[in-house]
Amino acid sequence: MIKPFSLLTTFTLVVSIGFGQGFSDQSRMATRLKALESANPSLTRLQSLAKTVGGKDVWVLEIGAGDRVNHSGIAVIGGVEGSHLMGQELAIGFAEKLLANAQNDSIKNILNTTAFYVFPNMSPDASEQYFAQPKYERSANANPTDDDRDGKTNEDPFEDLNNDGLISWVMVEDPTGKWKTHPADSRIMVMASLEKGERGKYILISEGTDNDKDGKFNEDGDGGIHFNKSLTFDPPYFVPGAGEHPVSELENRALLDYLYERFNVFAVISFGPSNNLSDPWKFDKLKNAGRVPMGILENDARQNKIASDLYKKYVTLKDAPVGPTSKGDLSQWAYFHYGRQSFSTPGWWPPKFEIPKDTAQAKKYKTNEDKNTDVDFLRWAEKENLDVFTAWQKFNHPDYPGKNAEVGGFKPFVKTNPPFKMVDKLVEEHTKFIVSLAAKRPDIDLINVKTEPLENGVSRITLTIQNKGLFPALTEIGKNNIFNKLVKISLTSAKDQSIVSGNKITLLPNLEAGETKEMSWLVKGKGKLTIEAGAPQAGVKKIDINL
Amino acid sequence: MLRQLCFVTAIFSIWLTANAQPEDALNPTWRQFHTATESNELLKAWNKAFPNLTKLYPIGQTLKGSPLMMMEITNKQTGAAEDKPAYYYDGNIHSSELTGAEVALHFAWYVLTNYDKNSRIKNLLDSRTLYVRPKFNPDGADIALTTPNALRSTPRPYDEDMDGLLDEDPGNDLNKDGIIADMRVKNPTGMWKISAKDARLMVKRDANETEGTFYDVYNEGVDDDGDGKFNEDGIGGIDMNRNFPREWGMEFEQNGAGPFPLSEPETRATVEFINSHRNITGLFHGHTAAGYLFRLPSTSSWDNFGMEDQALILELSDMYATTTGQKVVPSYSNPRLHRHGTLISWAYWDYGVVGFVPEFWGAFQADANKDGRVSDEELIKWNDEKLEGKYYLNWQPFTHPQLGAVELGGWNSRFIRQNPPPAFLKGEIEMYVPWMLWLAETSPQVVIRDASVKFVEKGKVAKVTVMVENKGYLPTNITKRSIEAQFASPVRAAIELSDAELSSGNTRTDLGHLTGRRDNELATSRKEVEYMIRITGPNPKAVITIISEKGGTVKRELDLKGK
Repeated sequence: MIKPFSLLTTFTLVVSIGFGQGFSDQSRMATRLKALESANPSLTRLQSLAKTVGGKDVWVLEIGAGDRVNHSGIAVIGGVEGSHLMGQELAIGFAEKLLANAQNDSIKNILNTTAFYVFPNMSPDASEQYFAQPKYERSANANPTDDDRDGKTNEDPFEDLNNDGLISWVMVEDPTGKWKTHPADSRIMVMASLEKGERGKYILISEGTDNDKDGKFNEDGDGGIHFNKSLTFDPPYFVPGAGEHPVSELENRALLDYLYERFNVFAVISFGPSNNLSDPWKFDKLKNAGRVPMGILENDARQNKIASDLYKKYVTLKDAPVGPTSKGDLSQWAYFHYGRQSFSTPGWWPPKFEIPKDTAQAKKYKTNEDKNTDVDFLRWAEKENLDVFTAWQKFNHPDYPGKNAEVGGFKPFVKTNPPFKMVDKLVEEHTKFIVSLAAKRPDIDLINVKTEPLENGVSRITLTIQNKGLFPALTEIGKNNIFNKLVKISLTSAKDQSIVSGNKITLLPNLEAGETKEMSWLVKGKGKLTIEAGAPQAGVKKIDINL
Repeated sequence: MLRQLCFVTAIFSIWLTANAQPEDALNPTWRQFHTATESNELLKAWNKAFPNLTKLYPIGQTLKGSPLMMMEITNKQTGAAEDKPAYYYDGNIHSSELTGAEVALHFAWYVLTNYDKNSRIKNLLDSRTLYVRPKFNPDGADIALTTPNALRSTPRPYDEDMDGLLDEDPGNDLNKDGIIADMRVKNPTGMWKISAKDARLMVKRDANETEGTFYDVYNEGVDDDGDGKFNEDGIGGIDMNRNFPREWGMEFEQNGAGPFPLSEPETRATVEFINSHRNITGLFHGHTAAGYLFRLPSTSSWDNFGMEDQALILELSDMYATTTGQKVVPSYSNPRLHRHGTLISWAYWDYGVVGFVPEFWGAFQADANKDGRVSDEELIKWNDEKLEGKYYLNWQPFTHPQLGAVELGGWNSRFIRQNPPPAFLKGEIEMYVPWMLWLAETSPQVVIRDASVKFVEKGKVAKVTVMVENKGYLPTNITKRSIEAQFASPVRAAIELSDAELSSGNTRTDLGHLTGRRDNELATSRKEVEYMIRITGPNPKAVITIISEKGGTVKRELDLKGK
C-alpha cells in the first residue's frame, strides 16, 4: 500500500554543484546528471539518447526503484524552448531534490511504484547561447537553415553593435517608423495605433545590421530548427524554425522514439511557454466537431483541472499570464498524439505590479493606462533591484548613417527566466507538485478475490479489479491511440487445468478513477493458477490462486 | 518494445526458384520475382556492366540492416547526375505488391541495354538522370515472397490490438501447404454463402436473405493469444505509404500511420533523399494491384490544387491512359475515405512535384466479357483454363483446434490477384516503359541558347549577353504550388571572371522561373542577362553558370580577348 503523500514533507535542501551560481551550461548539466547517477546507482540510469547537430547530448535520466517499465511513469521535460533556462533548472532540480530525499518514507514509496523520465534539456544547441558571446535568446538548433528562403543559409545574424556582450534593441528616429514611446515610461517602445490616430516616430529593430541588404534585419541568423515548433500536432509549415517536416531533427526524433517505447508513461510534465497548470485547458465542443479532436476532450479536461488545482496548491506564484499553445509544440503533441495527460508550465513569470497605495510612493509612477506589461515588468524589476534593462544610448547605425539611433532596451532572457536567487524555492514547489501528482497516478488493484469449489472439479473464481488512483487508466484521447495499452486481465492456468468459462485474456476499454469491474471464471482442475491485471501506465498486479 | 524485431523465419516452401541455373543478369527472363538480395545482385551486375551510365548506392538501411539500394542512371560523360533534371522511380513499398520492384528493375535494365541501340534512350540518358529504387521495403517484400504470410508492412512489430503483446496473433498455415488462405465455418448468422455461379467461390449473403447455408470466413489461422479474435495482430502493421508528413493522420483515422510521420527508416530515407536531390521533377511510386493509375489527390480536396496544377496532373496522367489503355482514377474521391500521409501528397505539397501511384496488374487477360472488370468467376475460369487451376485452393475439411470442423481453401492471391502469375509478368511490366520514359522526358531543360561578347572599347571593356532558355516541356518550377509555397528556387545566373572585373551586372542574378514548351510562349521561356566587364589582365575569361534546380546546371566559358 502506498501511504498518502504527506503535505508536511519538506525537501532536504540540496547543497550541491547545482545551486548557488546560476543557470547551468551543458557541461555543468552533464556533471550534475552524472553526480546524480553515481550517488544513486540503484535508482537511476543516465543515457545520452542522441547528439545534436551541434554535438550536444540529449540526456534522459530514468529514476525509480525496481521494475520501472511496469510502474506508472511521468516524463519531466525541460529546455522545451532554448531561451528558457528555467525549464532546464526545474527539470534537473526536480531530479536532484527527489533523489536527495530518496530515503524519506513517502518519497521511497513513490520511487517504488513510479518511474520518472527526466529530460533536462531538449534544446541544448540553442540554450548554450545564454553562455556565449553575443548572448541572445535563441530557439534554433545548430542545423543551418535558410530562414528567409533566399538560397543562402545563416547569412544575416545579429551583431553586438555596442559591444556589451548582449543582443538587445535598436531604435532609429524615422518618419516611416511604426513605433512610439509609451506615455507612462518613455523607455518602453510600443506600436503606434492607427485607430487612435497615433503616428509612429521610430523604427525598432533587433541589434544588428542588414548583412545581406535585403531590407530585413537579422532574419537569418545561426541555425536552425526549434524543438518546440517541430512536433507532429498541427505543425507549422515553411516558417522559420519549423524545418522541412515535423520531427526532422535528431533531438525531436530521440525523444519520440524513446517515449513511444515507454508505454508506462501516464503523464508528461513539460516546462515551456504553454501553461495549462495555472489555467487548465477547457472542453470546447466546437473544437471537437470535426473528424479529429483539436481541443481537449471532456473527461480529460476534468483531469487537467485536478492537476491544475494541485499545482496551485503547491506553486505559490499568482496571476499567471496566458500561456498559449503554439503550432507543433510539445504540450499539444503529448496530449493529442502521444495520448497521455499533458501538463505544461513556464514555471515562473514576473508578478503583477501594483502602484503603491501610499501617495508619496505612488507619485513616482505615471498611470499605466493600457496596462502595458513591459512597463509593469520594468517597474517590478526596479523595485526588486534587478538589472533587466540597458539604458538607451545614442550611436551610429551603419545602415542608417546620419540618423538619430539609440541602442538599448530589455536585456535578453530577463522576461522568461527569473533571477537565479528565486530558482531554488520554485524548484522545491514544483517538485512537491510532481510528487503529489505521482501519488495520484492510475493504480490498478485486485480485490475481493474468491474461489468456490463447484461440482465435477470445477471452481469459480471471482474478483474485482479496481483503479484506486485519481487518474483514469487511459486518457479519453488515448483510448483509440494504439500506442497506448488497454487494461488487460489474463489468466494463466496450469497444464492440467482448463477454462470452462471466461476468457484467457480480457481487455477493458478503460478504468476510470475509482471504477471497479467484477470478473469471474470457471476453471476445471486443481493446483496453482495466476491472474495478472493492469496496464504499464496504471501498474500491474499479479495474484496466485490455489484451487 | 517497439524496436524489438521478431523476424519471421523464412520458409522457402513456396519460394522455389524457378531456374536451376543462375539468372543471366544482362538478359533476364522477366518471368520470376526477385528477392531483395537477387534484386541487389542484378543492380550490381548492371553497375559493373555499365560503369559510365550507373552509380549504385544505399540511401539508408532498414531496422534489420538491409540496404535500401538506389541506382542512379545517366551518362556521366555529359554531366553529373545532380546537374541534370531527374525522375524518381520506386516500387514494392507494400510487401506483397512485388510487381512494383519488377517494373523498376525491368525499366533500369531496359534503358541500360538500349542506350547504344535506341536514340530516344540515348538522348534521355545524355540529358536526364533517372533514380531507380526497386525495393522500397526489402524486408517486408522478402517475407511476402518467401513465406506463407501476406503482408503490407515491414516486419517492425506493431501492437494492433493494444494488449501489450506484439504481433502475437498472426495467420497460421494450418494445413502446411505453404499458403495462408481462407477458412470457412458454417454459421447460421454468418455473412457469407456459396456462390450460385461457382460452388468454390464465397459471396456475401444478401441483407434480406434468411434461407440457406451461411458461413463465417476467416483468414487461415488460430486465436494464438486466446482473446477470442482470430489473426488480429499479425506481422508488422505499419503502412509506409501512410507515414509521410503531409496530411498525416493518426492511427484512429488512418490504419498503419505509425507513431509519427517518417518514424520508419525506409520513409525517412525517401524524404531525405528527395529533399537533398532538388533536381527531381516527378515521382513514379509503383503499387499493385488494379490495372489503373492513382493520381492526386490522396487526401485534401481536388479543389485545393488550383486550375493550373489540376490541368498538369490530368495531362501527365492522360499519357498513362494513352500508353497502357488503362484507366486513371483519383487516389481519393470519397469525402470520407482519405488516404493520409501518402508519398505523392507530400511530394506535391511539400516538394512541389507531381507523383503517381500506378497500380499494376488488372488481370485483364481474364476479362472474358471485356467489360473492363474482372469478376471472381472470370478469374477462376481463367485460372482453370490457363493456369492449371494453380491459384485457387479447393476447400478441404480440417479439424481446427478452436473452431472444430472447418474447411480450408480459397485464393492463393499472391500470384493471381496481387501480382501476375510469373508467366504473365514480362508482358505486364513491359507495358509501362513508354510512359516511364515520357515522364522523364517532360522535364524542364535549361540551356544557354546564345552567349555573345561585344567590345565596347577594344581590349578594355566588353559587353557579354547571355540568352538563357528552357527548352524542356515543363516550366522550371514544375507546379504552381512550388511558387506559392516559395520552395522553388528561381533560375540563377552566376559569373566568375579572371583577369577581368564586373562594372555592371551582378555576380549572381535571379532570372525567375522559365516556362517551357508546354506554355508555348517564347517571351517567358527565355531570359537575357547582360554584363559589362572591364578587362584587367592578359588572359581575360568569363565563366557563366546557369543553375536551375529542376532544369539542370549548365556552364559556358567565354574568351574575352579581343580579336
